[in-house]
Amino acid sequence: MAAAALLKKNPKPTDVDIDEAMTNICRCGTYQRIRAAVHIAAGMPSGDKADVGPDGKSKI
Amino acid sequence: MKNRNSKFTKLSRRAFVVGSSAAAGGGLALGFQLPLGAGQAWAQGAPDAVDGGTEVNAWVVIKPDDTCMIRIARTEMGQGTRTGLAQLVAEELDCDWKKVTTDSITPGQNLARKRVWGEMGTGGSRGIRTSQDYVRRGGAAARIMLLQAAADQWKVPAGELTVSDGIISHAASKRTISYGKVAAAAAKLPAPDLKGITLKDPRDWKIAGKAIKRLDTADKLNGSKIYAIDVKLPGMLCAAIKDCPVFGGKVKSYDETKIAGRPGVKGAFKVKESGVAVVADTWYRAKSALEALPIEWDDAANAGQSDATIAARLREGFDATTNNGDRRNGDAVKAIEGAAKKVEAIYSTPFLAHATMEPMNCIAKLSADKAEAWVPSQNAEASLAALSEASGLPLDKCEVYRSDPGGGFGRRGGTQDYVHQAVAIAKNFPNTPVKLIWSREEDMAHDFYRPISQAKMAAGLDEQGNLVGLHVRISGQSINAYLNPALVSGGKDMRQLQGYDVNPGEAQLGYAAPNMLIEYVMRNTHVPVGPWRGVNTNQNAVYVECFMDEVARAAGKDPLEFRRSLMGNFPKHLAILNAVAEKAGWNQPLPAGVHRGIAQFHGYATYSAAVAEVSVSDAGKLKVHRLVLGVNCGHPVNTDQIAAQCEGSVAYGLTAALYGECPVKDGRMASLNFDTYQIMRLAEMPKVETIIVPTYDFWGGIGEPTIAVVTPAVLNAIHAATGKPVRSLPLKNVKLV
Repeated sequence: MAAAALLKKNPKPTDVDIDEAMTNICRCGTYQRIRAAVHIAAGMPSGDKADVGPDGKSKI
Repeated sequence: MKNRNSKFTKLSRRAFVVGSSAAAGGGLALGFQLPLGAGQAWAQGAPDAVDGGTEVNAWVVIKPDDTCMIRIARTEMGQGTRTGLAQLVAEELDCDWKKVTTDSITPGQNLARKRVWGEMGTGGSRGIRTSQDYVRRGGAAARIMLLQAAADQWKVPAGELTVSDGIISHAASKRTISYGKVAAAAAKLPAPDLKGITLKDPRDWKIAGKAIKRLDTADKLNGSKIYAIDVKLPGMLCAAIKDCPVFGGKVKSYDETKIAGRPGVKGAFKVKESGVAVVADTWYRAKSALEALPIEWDDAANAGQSDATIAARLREGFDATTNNGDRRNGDAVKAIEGAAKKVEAIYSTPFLAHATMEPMNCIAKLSADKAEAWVPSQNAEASLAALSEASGLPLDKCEVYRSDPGGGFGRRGGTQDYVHQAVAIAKNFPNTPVKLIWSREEDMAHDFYRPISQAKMAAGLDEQGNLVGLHVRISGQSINAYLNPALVSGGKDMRQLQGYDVNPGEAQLGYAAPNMLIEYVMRNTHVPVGPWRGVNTNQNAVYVECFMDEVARAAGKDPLEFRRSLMGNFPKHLAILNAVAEKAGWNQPLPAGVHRGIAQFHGYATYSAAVAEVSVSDAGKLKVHRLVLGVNCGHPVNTDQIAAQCEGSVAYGLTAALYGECPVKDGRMASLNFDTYQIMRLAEMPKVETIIVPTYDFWGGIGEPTIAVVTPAVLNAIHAATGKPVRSLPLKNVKLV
């Protein structure tokens, strides 16, 4: 809901915009992916993706 | 592909819907599927129709449309275990992953079938690593039976058949058939010898080992997921509870006349010796009445306890002569005394609450011959045992419907205190479901907290800066002494030295010194303690990894190089340390004002390491910019879930490091909500990069191990930034400059 409200007001938020708008408590710690998801929803590539593995074809 | 999680979310022919019937199937309806039908079929061991499908074996149900429903015994609480276990079964089953669904079993079903699904308890990062062998065998056995059924139908040897994505082929006759068509015949065949099955080499995995999307994201994302706290049953009452704020205290009296006549309120009830509950038609009315209810407490002997009395008690442990467990080689005390240079430090870590987003709750419904509970549980079998004990009914008259907990972190495992309470309250309302929900304040006031401890550290260096002796003395509270005294054998409790093991395998210290003494002195308090995600690895990693930086600096050596010099006998510890150092660019220049710290630790069989990058402003304000986490869990089952757990452990660990503490005042917890028990927000989340460096020769956990390295890496980076070590937590209480 906070993300939807943000995107309504600001269709292309920066990381700082997201940080300021998303003040919800997350105990499972998925903050990084929430930030990335808001960028995706805004149609912006985030470039903020975790590498996985030197075997690593698998990326998010 | 979806998660069925039928007992709590699916609206089906057996569902009933509370509220507008027009909303059935969506909208605001809260659906709850009755545990009948399929459940009874399983309980009787009947391999026939289960939701229109056929049970090929305990793990695999296949429907005519080729849907493969994989049964999951462990609890999913965000850590991704449900998806990982389904991947392992599906891998050996060779089914079509797009047609996989999952279903949870109940502990009653497990009991009725002689625990065919094994252990349900989900803690200690064991969900995958101690299930993987038998769930893979279960998937493989189902595949063998399905292929045999096709072979019988076609009258060809099973060895001539191949299978891919749930389609069985006989190349010679160019025939194919899908799993859904042969499942009924397969179920009638004898099960193969599980031990004789050769499992696939993990290097050949196609479904397991991959970054497959989770099965349980959609309903969490759109808000339709039903947690136990959301469940509504017909005629259900709601209860709010207050337990004596001073641990160990009791109810003296309460004045029920003060809440008489409130609308919807059914009354106030004493719960065991220490609690009072108010029951009403809605939880808000119950909670409001409870707040208006005057209660007198007998605070017993503990009202005088405080942070100061507890800290003094821990300090006494540094000079005590008792020994509650140790490991030693050489004579560390003598070596340090005679060393060219001595380094000494005292570290401390506080009590911490789990603070799950969904507070403790449980619905209990009792009749003369049946006890039922709806509960978010990490250990549904422990919930069942608690229900049986509290209700007085035998286990086979009890059943527990488990939901996915809204956070577990160790709080919802063995103790099940909320089940005991809910049953005690429901005894006043036979045949009526009563839902007990703890307020946030109650949840913070009556946790089983991460144990408090202090560590007295000493090291000796020779003229060349080599470590000649290391002495660690941990003085702190014991989880086992509180929760399971039988595990404290002969006064020894090595669990409090988790991560300092001599032996390899589970939680081995990755350093050698010619003289080493690591010892534990038990100093129990009146505060209840229990496992908190990562348990004792978190504190013990802070002590040894931050002190290691202090010693390296005293030796005039780089913290990474100093560690490497002690790790020759620990190749796996060293490999992951080297991997994060390389990924983080340990020797590369940083932007002005940014500093690095490094740490490594071994826990839950998994090797972890981290490099943190931080800056500290002139005013002492900390900013954590980046964390690189490295992990070797042996066999990665879902690489994206591993990365997610590493990111989550940064948030969980950093929250604790920055803000986490549970101050004790007048014998009770003083921090009772998120206004004082602060949780790190999105704006403070550093960039996290995860590298997975598997060695494919063991099975390690992933839910907990990486938390341990987060805090020491950050503290060591702060030390690098300010030149001062941080020896006590949380950071909000520490003046950095």
